[in-house]
Amino acid sequence: MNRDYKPFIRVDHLKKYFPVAKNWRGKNSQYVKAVDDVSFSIDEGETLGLVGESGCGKSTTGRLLLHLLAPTSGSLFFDGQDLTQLSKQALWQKRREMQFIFQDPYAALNPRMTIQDSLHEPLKAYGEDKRTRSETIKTLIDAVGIPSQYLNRYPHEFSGGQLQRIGIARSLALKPKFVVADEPVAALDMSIQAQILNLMKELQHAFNYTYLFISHDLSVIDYMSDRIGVMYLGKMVELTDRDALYQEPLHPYTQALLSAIPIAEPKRSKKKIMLKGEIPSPVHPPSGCHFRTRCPFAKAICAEKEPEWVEMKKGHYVACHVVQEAHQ
Amino acid sequence: MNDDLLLDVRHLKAYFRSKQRTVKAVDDLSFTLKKGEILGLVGESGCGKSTTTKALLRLIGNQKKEYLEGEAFFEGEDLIKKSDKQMQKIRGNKIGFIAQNPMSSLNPVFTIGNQIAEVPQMHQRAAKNKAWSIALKMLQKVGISDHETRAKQYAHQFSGGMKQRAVIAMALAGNPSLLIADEPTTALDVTIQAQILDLMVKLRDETQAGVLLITHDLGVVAEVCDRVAVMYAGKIVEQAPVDELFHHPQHPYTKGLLASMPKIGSRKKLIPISGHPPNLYEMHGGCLFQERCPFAFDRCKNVEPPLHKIAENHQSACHLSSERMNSF
Repeated sequence: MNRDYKPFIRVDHLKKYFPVAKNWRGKNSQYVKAVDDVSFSIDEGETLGLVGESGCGKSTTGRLLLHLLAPTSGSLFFDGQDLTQLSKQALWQKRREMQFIFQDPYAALNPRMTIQDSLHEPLKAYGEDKRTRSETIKTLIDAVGIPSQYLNRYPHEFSGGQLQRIGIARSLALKPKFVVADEPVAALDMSIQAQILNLMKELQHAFNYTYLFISHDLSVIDYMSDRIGVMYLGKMVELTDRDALYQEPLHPYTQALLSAIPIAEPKRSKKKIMLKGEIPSPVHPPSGCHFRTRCPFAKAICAEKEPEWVEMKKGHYVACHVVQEAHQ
Repeated sequence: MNDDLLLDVRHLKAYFRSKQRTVKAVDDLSFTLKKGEILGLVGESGCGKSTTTKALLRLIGNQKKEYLEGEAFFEGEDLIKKSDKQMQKIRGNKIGFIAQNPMSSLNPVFTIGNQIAEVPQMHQRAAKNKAWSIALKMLQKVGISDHETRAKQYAHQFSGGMKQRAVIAMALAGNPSLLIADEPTTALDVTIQAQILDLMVKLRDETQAGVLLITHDLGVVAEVCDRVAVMYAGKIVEQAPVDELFHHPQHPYTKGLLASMPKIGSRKKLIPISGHPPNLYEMHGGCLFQERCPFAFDRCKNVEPPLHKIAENHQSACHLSSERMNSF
């Protein structure tokens, strides 16, 4: 992969804390550190996959990137501009270039609007006239494979897969440069899932979209992404090219995650790394490395110090004491 | 007849009727399950997998609008002919049930231990303290650490994976010879899923109970099942031992499912199944898969293919596979 062009999106030490409890003075005293010091970049036309278990902060990261949530601290550059510093008006103009694809296609569309009206909405908001709107919608609906005579129907008349296609069409109506897709196929059946994944790839090919693809399913992430980031309890633990992640995962959590995935190939002799216990509460994460309570290689230092985010090889970042020690 | 045979389902039909139409949720289903065997029932949403389990447990078929027909011999006795009272003695006792969502199968106002102890109290007329000790033993068996304190806690104090372990403990408390698990790991994270699947296989080895595992995940099937039945639109379209099914799939639907599944490390483009599953109340004659089948020909439109034996233990409901056999 060509890694020479400048990063389209750059995230530095991004943090988002949600207050969950107040002390007797009414001040926030406890926080869920949903995203805790995450840094990465995405190149133009690239797909970055974010994978992790529930509650690891992957959806929050997606929302932060579109500035749907204001970060607690950290900076966020989109096409060279820091989104956190923009005025409301400027941000609104920038929003045109970034869009979201939702997990649940049934909830993403208004049940009382025809899909035609739903598709008109984003274009109307940015002041396109009626004729251009209709033309844009025609080409869009064609691109996602929905017959144009269905435009006057309501969402309940479609199947889940068709609705997700319409949701994608709406996200792409304003010709965005950057699209965050949060579990776009999790609610769909296997045979439909493949249709949507292929559609997203084709559209990216045609229009050079940059994707942040969020999923809990490593095989879906592996299929879609150029690079993959693995998250655990608000931290990114590993980030690298998809081939490297699959062939030589460095972080113990990535290794366990890869081995835990049921593979559709019976009787494959595969040594499973069974993780002990469950994911700790994000309100009281373990000291030091967040993963140490379940890590089979945990040492004394893991409880004392947070591991640093280090580039072990070119483009292969890991946050783990054990791996970093072994490499020295 | 085979002594090992635990469950023998023949021509099971479960229809839902309304004034205007009849939905054939399960239509003429036949399969068998041996002692100590794990049979996977796979299919997409709406294909009738869950209705099958509900029919076997006789949780449907008691109302006018629900129509149940066929035979289901469990340890030599037909479950479909049992009265409600007789079924109550079987459910939770000889047949254990694990539901998809552990959060909704536990009562929030009783302690976990109490809920498990209820099973021996009901079915074996065990005294209170005896039942409690059985509950403790069960909790220990499913790998809940510190089981004596845990037994006195409530469902909200358990995490998702722990709750599912508790539900499994409850299902096993009656010492069942048949365990029906309806998507037992779908609500769980992958690392927890691996733990639960591992536990289920271990318990099967220990108790030699037969397991009917309902899932939509072919990966899970490949990891734990001995035999698989693939369902489509209320019918079994292919049935085979797990190796055979994954390496020599015969039915175009099974082939399509396998081709549309992303595999880690594979760079092949996914080949989705076109279209979407049929409406169960707008059924036409002939093969139900023909609209989506790339190999469909004239006969598929008119004649419904029967489940045909194509090899020892391997059946497929497709005109093409039966023709291939006849030409030999």
